[in-house]
Amino acid sequence: MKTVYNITSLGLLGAVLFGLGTPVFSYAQTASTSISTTTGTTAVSSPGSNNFCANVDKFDATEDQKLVDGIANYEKIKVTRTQVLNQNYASRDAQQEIDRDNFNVDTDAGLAALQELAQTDAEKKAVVSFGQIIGNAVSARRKAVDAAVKSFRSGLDQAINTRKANIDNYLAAFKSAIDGIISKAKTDCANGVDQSLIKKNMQDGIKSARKVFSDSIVKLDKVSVTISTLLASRKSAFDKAHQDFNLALTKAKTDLEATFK
Amino acid sequence: MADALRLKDEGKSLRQIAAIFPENEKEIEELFGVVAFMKSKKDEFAPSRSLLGRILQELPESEPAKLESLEKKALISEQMEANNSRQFVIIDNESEAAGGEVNVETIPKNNSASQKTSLKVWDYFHNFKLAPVMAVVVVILVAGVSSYEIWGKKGASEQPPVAQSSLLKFAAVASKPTTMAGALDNVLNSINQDLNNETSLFDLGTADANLVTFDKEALNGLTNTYNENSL
Repeated sequence: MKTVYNITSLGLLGAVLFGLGTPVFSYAQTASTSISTTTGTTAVSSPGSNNFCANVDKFDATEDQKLVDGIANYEKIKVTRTQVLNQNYASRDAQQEIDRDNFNVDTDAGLAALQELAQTDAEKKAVVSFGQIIGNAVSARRKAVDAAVKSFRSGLDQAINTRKANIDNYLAAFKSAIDGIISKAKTDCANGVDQSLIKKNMQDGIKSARKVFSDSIVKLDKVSVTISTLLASRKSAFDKAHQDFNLALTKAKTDLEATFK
Repeated sequence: MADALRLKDEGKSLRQIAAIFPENEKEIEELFGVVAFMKSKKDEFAPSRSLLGRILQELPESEPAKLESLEKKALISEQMEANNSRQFVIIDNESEAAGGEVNVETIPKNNSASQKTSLKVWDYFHNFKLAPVMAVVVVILVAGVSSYEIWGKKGASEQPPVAQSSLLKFAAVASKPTTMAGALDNVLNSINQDLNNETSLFDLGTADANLVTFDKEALNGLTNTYNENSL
């Protein structure tokens, strides 16, 4: 009975030791796989990668189509942006022209009415002078505002063009990196390199290329600094034009009123 | 003129439209002046709430069409049914007070829309219920037209060759500024309007900056291609 107990105990002990040893063995295998893929010297198969080479072309075709569709969408957005900008510019320019024409008509009529009310030569001269000062001030203000708007639009166009050129470069670099990675994978497949190693190298390479591309796209957000500067310059120029105009207008009005008193 | 207005609606500038119709340049300029003036003065054409309230208070008590007797009502209803017609009852206060008869106009029921409209107008005017309102409307229109006559024309020396109606001429004389301060205010108002228009357009231009990054979403979509996790 004691002998049977001893045998049973030994059996259990052995089973426990075996059970403890199995994970260590498995880990040793995993560690070995990891090291071998990193160094690229040892070919160790891993589950799920046996058909990897057969799928490389399919992956490339599918993802390339996604990229082509994405670029087509981006190109469409670029065209829409240009159209919207041009429409905005044109409609506001047309409205501005109408507003200015109307102002000219209104002011000419108003000055004529003032002239009719002038009694003395001094008053008549004062009205003429008032009209000239207003005309010059309006002209100067319009030139300053037009220059501010033109400069702003030019700045926007430049920012957009720079952005477009950068994006084209980033896309070309990304596509080139991807093509290189896939080409290398295909070569490795043809040369019989272990497929798990090819897969790992390809995943790492693509991940790295995508990160470079994504980081570049994120950097494009820095254009907001340029836009803020453009907006501030435009506003500053506009405000100054209006301030200068209001100063001239106030003085002209005061002078005219003084003459009529 | 209709073509010119259509082109204006399409966003063409005055200069561009005038180039298309050079023979009507002056008329087009006048027309656009009127449009701009009406646009800029649209708020002034609306009488104040207090004025409208006063007008309503001063209106005579609204007296719905009434008949002297139920017999007359019944008679008229019978006639309406029989003739397939509708009737407008016109109350003549004086004749009614003097015991006169009530006028009843019988109109065929299947009359056209234009007939209905003209009848309504006829009915309103006949009752003189809207007379004070119409008077106010006429005054406002005259004031508006006179303002255009004064400020819409190019100058005292450049009278438009187009024949003016006597109403326009009358209105122009009626509200021309008579003081230097009034005339100066008109010029200053015109300048302020111009400044406001310029500022509005300028503010609209600010939104153009947002279009620079209009492609952001499309670019983010590109970074999602060639996902290594799908290998």
